[in-house]
Amino acid sequence: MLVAMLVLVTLHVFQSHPLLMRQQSAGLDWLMRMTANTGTAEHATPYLFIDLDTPSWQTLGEPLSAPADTLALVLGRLIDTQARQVVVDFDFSRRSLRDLAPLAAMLARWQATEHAPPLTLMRTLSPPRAPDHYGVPRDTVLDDLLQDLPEHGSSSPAVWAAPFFSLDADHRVRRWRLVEIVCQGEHTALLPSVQLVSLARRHGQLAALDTQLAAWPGASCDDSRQPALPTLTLGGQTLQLADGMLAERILYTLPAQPDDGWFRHAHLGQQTPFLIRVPVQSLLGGLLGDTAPLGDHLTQARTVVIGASHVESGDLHVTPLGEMPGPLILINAMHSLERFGQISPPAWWRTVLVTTLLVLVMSACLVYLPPLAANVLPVVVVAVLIVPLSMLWFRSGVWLDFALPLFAVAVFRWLHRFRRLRARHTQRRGSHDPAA
Amino acid sequence: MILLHDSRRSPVRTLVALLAATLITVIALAGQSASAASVAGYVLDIHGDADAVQVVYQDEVRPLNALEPVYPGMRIEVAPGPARVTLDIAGARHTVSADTSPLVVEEPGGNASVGGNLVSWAMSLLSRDEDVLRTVGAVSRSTQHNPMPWLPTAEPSEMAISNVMFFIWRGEAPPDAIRLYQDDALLTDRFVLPGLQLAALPLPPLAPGEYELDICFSDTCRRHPLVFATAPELPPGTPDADANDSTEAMYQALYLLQRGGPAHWPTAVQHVSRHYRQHALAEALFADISGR
Repeated sequence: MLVAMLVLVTLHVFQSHPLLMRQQSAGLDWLMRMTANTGTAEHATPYLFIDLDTPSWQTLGEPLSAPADTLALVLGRLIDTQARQVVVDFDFSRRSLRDLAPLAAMLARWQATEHAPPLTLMRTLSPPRAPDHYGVPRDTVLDDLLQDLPEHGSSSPAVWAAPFFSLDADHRVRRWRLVEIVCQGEHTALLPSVQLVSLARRHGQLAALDTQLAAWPGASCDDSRQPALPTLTLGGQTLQLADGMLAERILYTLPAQPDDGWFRHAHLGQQTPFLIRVPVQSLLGGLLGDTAPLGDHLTQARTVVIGASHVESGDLHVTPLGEMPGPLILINAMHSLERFGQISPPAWWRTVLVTTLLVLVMSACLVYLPPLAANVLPVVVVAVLIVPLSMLWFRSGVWLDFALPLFAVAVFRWLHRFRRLRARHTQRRGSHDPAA
Repeated sequence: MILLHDSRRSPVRTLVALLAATLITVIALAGQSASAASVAGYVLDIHGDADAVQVVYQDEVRPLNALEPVYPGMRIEVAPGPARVTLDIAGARHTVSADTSPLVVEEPGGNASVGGNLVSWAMSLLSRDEDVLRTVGAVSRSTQHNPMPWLPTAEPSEMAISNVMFFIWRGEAPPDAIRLYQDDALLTDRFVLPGLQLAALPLPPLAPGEYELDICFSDTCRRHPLVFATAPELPPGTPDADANDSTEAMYQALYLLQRGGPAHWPTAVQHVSRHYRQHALAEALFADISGR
């Protein structure tokens, strides 16, 4: 029992080792795939994804960047809706005012409309000059226009947010970046991510988020040692910005192309898809040039994300749920932060409790069962009890890692086999010893 | 052992949860069904005469509107003529025309279940797609620190003047910089990544002449001499190609890759990159060039 406990404790202590991290990551990926698109999310914000997909993009003549007049037309159909917020997932930096004129006009109308939904626009960064430096936010020609917006208290503030995610070594997008350290002038500052802005809006605490981020002291842009990132409090949730890798995991629940559509949930008295995906060309009204506001059945109390998934968007990424366009990653990240919060390690007593139970099972198996059953039963216990438990708890954002126990059982089995062989060898040597 | 998301339960409740978990999981595996009041989908597009498309629902006949929800039991009718309507029902696209009219919308199936996902995952282990994905992963890991651009390294390449130039490379790490120079004057460096292992450099209006391309992967940069011509000279026997005809372009690309030599590979890459989403041969060539 002591050996079993030692194996589990050792593995637990070294769980941040790359070898074990990879096992845990693969386990979490698998669990996400098993639970993808299942369950319900009654209190979570549903989504409308207005998608510049390949047919829409081809209809528009395969433009290199999203045409501003098309985006203006789409926004025009959202301005008088009751959407919870509108996220525009396009980069407007490095585009001229002449190019963006229709969009600028629409944004001017947006800010003049009293009850227009809140707007989130993407702020991209120039790459850092050196590895230990920080990116500089790229200006857009829309900045001057949106500077006139009241910062807080307005019903329709526009916010710039960062759409950045971390790539793992296998080029899969598994982790978010809740804030981005950026270089503004000679000083660093914090730029919130899209999902963080979305969460703050959900709780009506955009101003509180701004205040908390502005309180971060920052440092010189050339200083490689920056102050520790703060801990944020939003709507009862505590977000540790400086936390480790585990807290950065996105719990993907919405695949790009589910076989039978996205799961349904109760919304406005009906069972509706949690995520509705509408191609841009459907909003252009065909030849009719329809500019009427989109119906409540599509937008009311939903977060609307306008983005691109066409083949040349350059915004297709590999995730644990397969290839996914960038806007859908944003949707998964917003949903993950709102529904599950930030993943955190368990309370110590939980770890001790489950570890002790597992040690007892392993020890009892080896003491009371024949060798074959003693090898098989611990694996069966992990597979039959811990894996289903993981699936069950995962729906409420709790992950019971089954990869580590499986690994522990394997290590423990090797150790046990080694001890038995050594004992047999010692016994044989003893029987051949003439002095015995 | 890691439990995520501390939910502040007492140890006793956790024990109860442990005991009940397997039973509840079995129930969860059985899946969930949607209620009868489900929205089955949405009208995406109506092409042609909108009045030719009607819906019969709850003893009422009325025109169908774009983007309106459709419910189980609705009967979508399209009158004879060119009109057609595209619906999104439970994630699948349905186009109803006069030939396929009427369509009666069915009750959507239940939500996906863990059991269904488990079966789907198990089946995917045997499928070809999954094998291809794994192959790509292996290639990216083995070559991500040594990516190979598909451009000649020594002799100049001759290419037709265009408004965009495509690049294909092996490995998933994209180039860090692509710059076009003429007489050491930088002409453009704003490239985009329209697909995996594919980069596109929009070109300014160019005059025929000699240029240089600078391509950097991480800290390794290479310069390639390039000649832009209005009508580049191709090797004898090269099939003619109309830029808009994907089949002709692919035959020319195939010929240039096989017999044209490195000086003509960039031209082949342009053809492949332009058409690899539309043409099966182009897709195969793209997979071959990019090492997938």
